[in-house]
Amino acid sequence: MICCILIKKRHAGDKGVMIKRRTTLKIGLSGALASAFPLQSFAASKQAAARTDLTDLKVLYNSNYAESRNLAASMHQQQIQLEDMAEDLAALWYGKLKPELAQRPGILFGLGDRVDLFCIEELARDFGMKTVFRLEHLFNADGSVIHLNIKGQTDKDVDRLLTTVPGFGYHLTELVPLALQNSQQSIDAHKRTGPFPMQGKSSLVSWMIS
Amino acid sequence: MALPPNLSQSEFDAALAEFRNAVGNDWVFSSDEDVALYRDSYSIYWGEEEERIASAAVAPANVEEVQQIVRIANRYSIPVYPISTGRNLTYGGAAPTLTGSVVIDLKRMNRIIEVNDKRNYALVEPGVSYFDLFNYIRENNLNVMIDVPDPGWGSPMGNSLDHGVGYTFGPYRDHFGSHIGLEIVSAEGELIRTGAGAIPGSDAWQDFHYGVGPSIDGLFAQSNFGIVTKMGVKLMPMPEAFKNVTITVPRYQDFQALIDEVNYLEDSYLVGMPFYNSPAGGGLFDPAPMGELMQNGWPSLDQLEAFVRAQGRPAWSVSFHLYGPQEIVQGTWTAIQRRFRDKITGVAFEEEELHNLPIPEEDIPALPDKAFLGIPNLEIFHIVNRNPINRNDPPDGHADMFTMAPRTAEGAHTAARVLAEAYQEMGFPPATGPFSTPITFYSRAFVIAVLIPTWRDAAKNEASRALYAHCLDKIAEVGMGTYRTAPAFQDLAVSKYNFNDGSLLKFQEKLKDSIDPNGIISPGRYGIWPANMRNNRG
Ligand SMILES: Cc1cc2nc3c(=O)[nH]c(=O)nc-3n(C[C@H](O)[C@H](O)[C@H](O)COP(=O)(O)OP(=O)(O)OC[C@H]3O[C@@H](n4cnc5c(N)ncnc54)[C@H](O)[C@@H]3O)c2cc1C
Repeated sequence: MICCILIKKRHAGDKGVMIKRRTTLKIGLSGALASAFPLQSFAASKQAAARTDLTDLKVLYNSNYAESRNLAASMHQQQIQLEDMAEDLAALWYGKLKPELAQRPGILFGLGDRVDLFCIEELARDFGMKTVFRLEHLFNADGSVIHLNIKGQTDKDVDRLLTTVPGFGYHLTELVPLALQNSQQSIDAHKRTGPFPMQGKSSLVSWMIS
Repeated sequence: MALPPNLSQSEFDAALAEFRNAVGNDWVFSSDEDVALYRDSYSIYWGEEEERIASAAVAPANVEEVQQIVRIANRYSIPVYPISTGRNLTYGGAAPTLTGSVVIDLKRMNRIIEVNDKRNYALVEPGVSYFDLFNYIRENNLNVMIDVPDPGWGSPMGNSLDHGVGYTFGPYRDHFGSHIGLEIVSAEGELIRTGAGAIPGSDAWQDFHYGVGPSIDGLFAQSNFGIVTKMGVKLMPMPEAFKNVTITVPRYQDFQALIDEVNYLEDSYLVGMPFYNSPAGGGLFDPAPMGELMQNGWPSLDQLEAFVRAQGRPAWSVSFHLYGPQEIVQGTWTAIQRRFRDKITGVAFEEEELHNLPIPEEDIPALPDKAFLGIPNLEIFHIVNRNPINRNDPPDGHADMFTMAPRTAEGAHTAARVLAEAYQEMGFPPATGPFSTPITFYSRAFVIAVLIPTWRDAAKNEASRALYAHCLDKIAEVGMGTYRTAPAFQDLAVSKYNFNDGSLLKFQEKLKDSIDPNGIISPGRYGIWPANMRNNRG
């Protein structure tokens, strides 16, 4: 709770003493919610994880980040559900993903910042879903990118699929089969970190929650 | 996998089979991977032996199933830990207070039973989130406003039962204070309703909270006396309009006069949440450089006044929302300015335009201060993510340390000074200073807040724990305590409320022993241990 207060203090500090209100109007909350969800059974969500049917896949990107936009662009022609986490993650979850997942189990694959992952990871507990695959993408000052698995190591398979130069977002969906394979094995990827970014680094994270 | 204390694997397996019979196979989670979902992401013991870990989780669909779970737990002496939405981050997340407890995850009990915008209340089940309630009100064009904590993914029930807080008008932002009527499954499985709800057929459950005789509602918050299955929430009628205003005072020593006047306004129910700041001090994210000022310890008043003059900005400010019909808002604002002018030389005023309520749907995403208007959101996580003070060594989470101080300048300054000393004594740069301002979550108390980092790194967590404990010790020395804390510190926090040899806790534990003889419900929560587990006190 303190955090809200802190940022408001900062606003006040930056701009004299008045809390500033932005007046621009943007898109509204998407969708309407029923008051009570019949939460799907946990077993059903496990079955979804075991399937490789891509109709159950929902790809989540964050349009604030170039690589994430690349991911979205790469999916343009495909029949896979694509959602932007940048605008209002809460509206996305409560207005769309939660009702959809309550109707039919699914698999979430995403690329965004750690906050995006952290929030979806916590929310997905409602459906017994967990992070089964996670890859950190670190941007070096020279523009190159390092992809680190949950052990903090680079991985040959991953480096082969992705590039270590900007643009890896275009190839990210090629990781989906690898992620699905991992999803059967361990939960070491779940809750690896909190929502904060890596120390002194600019980074993104890609993940699968099923 | 953790086992419940004093239970063999085979006994636990037998209990799990009974839980499955009660709620269905799909709703008992006992594998390591499923139970891991209930770990506390912000745990200050992450990965260490003392991290609180559940043994299993059970998700009942209705009150009868809750009763069955409680009866089974009694038969096997299994500690259970009820959660509503289980998003109590910084205060334990979804993890139990005692390792080996079975989490009762009430997420499937998610009905909004009623929202009444003539008598201004809601009646909800545990799994209803703030988002659910907000959306329901919007969809049904109901003329009420809810009060939300920063992250809206929690529940009115879970938040209230942990004494959670929000951001609107005084009586509503104390969430437990604004509940009205509870339904509880007792530790022995009996169903109880409080207030007018105890009269069969009463239609006044959400209108009249006392009934006759002692009110027991308070026993169910920050405690372990029962499992709440329904709760009434008092709602504020949607105000016609609001206006945000700011008042500044020039001198450091004006703080007390500012506080006196704001107390008058708050306690007269004329203003929304007062939000104090120090333009001269610069706030926590961009503090004015104070190196020299702090060189020889806490500065004198003369030094502080000179510092304020050198900054060329007012020493203190307070902002708040005025809610109500346009005429009332404008009239109140005129009266407020008059009162301040009479009392403080050099006071200045700023105001924003008046906005009508409810905010149109399409305007909501761009609003910078949604919580002040009861609009649930998750923006807080991005705000903390991007703040300049955590840039160099961002932690994985935080254990919030809130010092409750008297509503005076002296109270706020003392808490800030003592916390600064605590930090320094433990080798940390101080997080508070002479310009720290109080937060007014509770309308009749000040909170001085520090966020102590938590990590995935045991050594760093050890240092954080020592810091947290030292802060609690230090504030107790000046007669202050905290209002809420994570399980790791609940025993210590409670031990500071020890008037007359801890008579309060002794009384609570006597109640615990008679109400919950097997000690099954949330043992240890807020320092209340059942007789058979008192040696667990940390
Ligand atoms: C960045 C950040 C900002 C935050 N800001 C705020 C804020 O502004 N205000 C605030 O209040 N909190 C704040 N919090 C803390 C917390 O996230 C919220 O209070 C949240 O609403 C609590 O989670 P919940 O509603 O899911 O409650 P739960 O986790 O479901 O419940 C909390 C506790 O209450 C007890 N309980 C819950 N349900 C029952 C039941 N039915 N019967 C008996 N006992 C029960 C349990 O012991 C449980 O652990 C913040 C946390 C973070 C990380």
